[in-house]
Amino acid sequence: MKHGTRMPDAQSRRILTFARIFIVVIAVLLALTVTRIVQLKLHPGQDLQETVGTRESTLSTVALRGRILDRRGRVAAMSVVGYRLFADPALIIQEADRDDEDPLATTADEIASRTGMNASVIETSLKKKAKARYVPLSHQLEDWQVVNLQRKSIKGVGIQPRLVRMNPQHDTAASLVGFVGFEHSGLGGIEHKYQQDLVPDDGKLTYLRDSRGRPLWSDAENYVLSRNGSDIRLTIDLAIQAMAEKRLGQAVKEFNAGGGRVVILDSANGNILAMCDMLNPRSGMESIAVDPGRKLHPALGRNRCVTDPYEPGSTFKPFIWSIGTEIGAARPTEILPTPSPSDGIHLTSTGRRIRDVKYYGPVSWDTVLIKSLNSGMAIVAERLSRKQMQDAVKRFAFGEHTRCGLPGESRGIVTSAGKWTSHSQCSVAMGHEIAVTPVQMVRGFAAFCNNGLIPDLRLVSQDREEMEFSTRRSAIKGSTARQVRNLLARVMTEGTGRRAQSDQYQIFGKSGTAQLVRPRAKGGGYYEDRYVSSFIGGAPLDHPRIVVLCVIDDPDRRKGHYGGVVAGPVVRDLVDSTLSYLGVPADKEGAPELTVSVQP
Amino acid sequence: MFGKILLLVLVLGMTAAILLVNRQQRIDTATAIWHTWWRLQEHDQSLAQLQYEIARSTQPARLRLAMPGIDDRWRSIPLIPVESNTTWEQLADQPEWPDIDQGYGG
Repeated sequence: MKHGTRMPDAQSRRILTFARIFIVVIAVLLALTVTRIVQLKLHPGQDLQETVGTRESTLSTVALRGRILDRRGRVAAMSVVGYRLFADPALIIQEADRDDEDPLATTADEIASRTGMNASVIETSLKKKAKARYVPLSHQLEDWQVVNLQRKSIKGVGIQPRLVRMNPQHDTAASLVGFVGFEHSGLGGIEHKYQQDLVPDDGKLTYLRDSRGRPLWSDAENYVLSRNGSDIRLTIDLAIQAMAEKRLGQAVKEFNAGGGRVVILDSANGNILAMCDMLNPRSGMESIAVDPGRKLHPALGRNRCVTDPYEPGSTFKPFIWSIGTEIGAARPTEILPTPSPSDGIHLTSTGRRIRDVKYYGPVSWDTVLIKSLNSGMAIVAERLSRKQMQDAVKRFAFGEHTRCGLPGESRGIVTSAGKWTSHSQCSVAMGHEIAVTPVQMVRGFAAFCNNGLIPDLRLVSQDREEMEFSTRRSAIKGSTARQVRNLLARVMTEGTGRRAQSDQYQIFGKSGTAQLVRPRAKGGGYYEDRYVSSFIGGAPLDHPRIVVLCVIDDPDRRKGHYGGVVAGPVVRDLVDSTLSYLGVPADKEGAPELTVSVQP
Repeated sequence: MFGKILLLVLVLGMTAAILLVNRQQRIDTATAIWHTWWRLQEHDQSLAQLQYEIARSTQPARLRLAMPGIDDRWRSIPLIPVESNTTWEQLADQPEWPDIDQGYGG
C-alpha cells in the first residue's frame, strides 16, 4: 500500500470488533471484581466466617503504681514490670504431637531446661490442673529466663507482664511505707492509706488486624493513654529515719528492752522527719505488745508511735507547769513547802502520800520542774480547779487525734470529767493516770518551740510550700513557752538530763520514768519493777528546730530504767546527728564550727 | 465510543491503584503505630527498672561507704560537726556514729 492510502474496510472492521470484545470482557471482569469485593465485605460465605472471626485485638499497657518518696525525693517504694510464667495445660494437650505420650511432662522438661526451674514441680502443677486454661508457674522471672523463653516459643506456655513492688531502702521505714498484696493493692501503712492516689490506670490499644494478626489500622479513639499512679511524697527523711532506727536498735539492745519508739519532728513546720517503732522479743519474757501482723512482715505491723499510748510520767510535767504558771497558781520564784529529807513524804489535802526520788526541802516553783519533784507538782495541782486541770490537758491537744496520716491512730486515754477525782488531779500533774501516744507528745512539746502554738503534724507532704506552718491552736503565751524552754535547758545541767547533754547543741528536755501498766487480764494496775523510760527534748535552745522523743519500753532494770539514763543519750545523739545533717550550726559555747570543707 | 470506554477503564484502573496505595500506606502506618507502642512500653519498663537500680545504689548508707572509693578526696560529712582546721586524714578517722561504748557526750 502506498503512504496515505486507507486500510481495507474488512481489516479495520475486524480490528474494531476485537477491540470492542476486549473492552467488554475487561468491563465485565471489573464489574465482577467489584461485585465480589462488595459481597465479601458485606456477606462473606459460611466457610470464610470462621476465618474472619474477631478482627480487632486489644493490647493493654501496664501502668505503674505511684511511687512513695521521702522529703528529698528518695524512693521508698516503687513498681517495676516483671514477668510471670504461665501455662495453658488444656491447649498443651490439644496441640500435642500424636507420638507424644505425656505432653505435660515434655513441656515441663522444656520449661525447666530454659529456666532452671524444677521440672517435677512444674509437671505436678500442670497435671493438677490439666483441664485449666491458666496455671501460673512462677513469680517474677529473672531477665535471663525471660530471654530464654522468648527465644523460641513453647506451645501453651507464655509470659505475662505484672507489676512488682520494690523497696530500694529495704526495711527502713517499712511499717510506715506499708505493703502491697498479690493484686498490687495496698495493705497497711501509706500504701493502704493512699491507695486511691497510688493506683494507676492501665491504657489500651485496640487495632484492626488481618487473619495473621498483623495490624491493619487503629483509630485515634482506640488508643487510651495509660496513667501512672500519683506519687506520694512523705515528710520523712530516709537518712534521718535510718539514723534513728539504728540508734534506737542500739539502745533497745543495750538495755535488753522489750521495744522502743522514736519520733523526730521538725517543730518549725510540723513535719515528721522520722518515726521508728521496734519490738524486741526476749526469751523467757512476755512481749510488751502483741502484734501478729509484724510476725508476717515488718510492713504489716501496726505503728505503735500512733496506735499505742503510754504513761508519760515526768515528761508531762512541763505542760502542767506552764499552765499553772500562766494561770497564776504559782510564781516561778515562789517557794513551795516541798518536803525535806527528814520529812520523807508529802501529804496532800486528801491524805495521799506523794514521794519524790530525792528531797530538797522547800524549793521554788522553778526548781520543782528542774528537779522533777512530784510533791511540788501536787501542791500546785491542788491549787488548780478540776476544770482548770482538764483544760490544761486539752490545751495541748492531748486526747485528740493528730491526724498525721496513718491509720489506726489512738487518741490516747484521758480521764473523763465525770470520773475525775482528787486522785486524778495530782496523778495527771505527775504524768500518771493519762496515756498519750508519741506523736501527741511531740506535738504538745512543739508548743514550747513555737511561741506556744501547737502545729498540725504532717507525714505526707501535700502542699508545695512545705515550710508553711499550719497551726491548730495556741496552747500558752509565747513568753511562757520561752520560760519553760529555759527551765528545761537547766534540767540538762542541774536535773535528770545530764546524760543527755550535748557538746554541740543546747538541748532543752525532760526525762520520764513511769511504771509499766499491767494488762487487765493479768490483774490490772502497774508492775512493781517494770518501767517505761522516756526522754523528750528540743534544740537549739534559742531557735528550736526539732523535737526528739525516745520511749524505751520495759528496759532491764539491772542495766538502768531512769528515762534520763536509758532514753536521754538516744535523744542527745539523734539531736546531734539530725541537726548536723540539716546543717544547723552548733549553738553551744566552745562547740566546733560546722564546716563542709576541710583542708586537703 | 471505543475511546470513551477505554478512558473509563483507564480511570477505574487508576482509581483502584490509588486506593490500593492508600490502603498500603494505612497498613504501614498502623504497623508503625503498633511497633512504636511496643517500644514505648519497653522504654517505660526499662526506665522504671533503671530508677529502681539508681534508688537502690544511692541509699544514704551506701553513698557514705562508696564516696572515698570514687575519689579519695571525697569524705562523707560526719554527723558530728568538726573543727574547721581538720585535715582530710583526720576527717576520715571521724566516727560516723557516736559509739555507745566510748561514752560519747559523757
